[in-house]
Amino acid sequence: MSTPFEEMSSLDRLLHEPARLAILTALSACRSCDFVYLQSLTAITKGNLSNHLQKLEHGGLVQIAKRFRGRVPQTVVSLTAPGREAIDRHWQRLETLRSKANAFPLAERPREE
Amino acid sequence: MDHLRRLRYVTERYEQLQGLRLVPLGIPFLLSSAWRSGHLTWVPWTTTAGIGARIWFVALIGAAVALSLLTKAYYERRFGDVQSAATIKAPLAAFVFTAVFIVSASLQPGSQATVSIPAVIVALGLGYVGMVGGLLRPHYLMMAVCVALFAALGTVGVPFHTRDVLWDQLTGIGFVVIGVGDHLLLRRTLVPVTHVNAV
Repeated sequence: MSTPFEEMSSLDRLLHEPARLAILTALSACRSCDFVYLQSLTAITKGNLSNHLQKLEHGGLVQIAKRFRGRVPQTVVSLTAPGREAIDRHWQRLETLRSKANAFPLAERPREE
Repeated sequence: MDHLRRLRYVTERYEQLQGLRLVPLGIPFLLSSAWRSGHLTWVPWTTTAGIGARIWFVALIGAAVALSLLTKAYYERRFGDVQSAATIKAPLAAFVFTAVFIVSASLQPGSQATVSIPAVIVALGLGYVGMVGGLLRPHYLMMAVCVALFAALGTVGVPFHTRDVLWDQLTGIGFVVIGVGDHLLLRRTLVPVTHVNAV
């Protein structure tokens, strides 16, 4: 039986990368948000954020729409239905792993020499 | 994970947490308490009948609402825009709270209770908001305690007029404390894009 620490290495890397996990977590809490909001919550550059969003879009987890708000162009991002299911499942897995890790017997940890 | 939970909480309540939009609403109440205490009688058109003062109050509320709309644009520029998930929960909770408050306020004059029932309702509402989400908004709990203490003032013989002045002060301070507190929570979670792009 694998330990919770070993299970963590098998987490989906598309979702589990820190910036992408933050993006998907935020999107799961709303209907949609714009590029500026995602940039402010991840604190990464525009190019880096675009790169992450492209990967999520190719993975079928988000959809990206470009529109105008008055005369100002706006990029709006939202989760797809599979994306919403994927992040909900991922969070359930994280909660389970956290519980398992907290319950992991101290005696089975390697002793320091 | 705690950071991600906070991120989710803030995103769900993004518009509510734009606290600087609330702060201007505190000013009319603070000025009202000053006027009721006799400090602002030099202000033009504040007649002894109080009609001028009421007009001032309504005008200041209108100015605060206008400032609130401008501040919304500031948040959108600095932190972006979020379309909240449409649920019935928050509007329903607001409706129930308002209905209970109005009923309690209408029952209070005829009641023998020295405890202010509307203030107790407000304290309970503030306490509920403060407790939800893992104590991310302790400033609501602080205000809930202050309002609960105010509710009990009648039991120690504080006169009505003094309580009226204190209620205005508490409301004004409450808007400022809650507004600043919510803004700081938002600011701890989000980075203004001007700061990100400056790197």
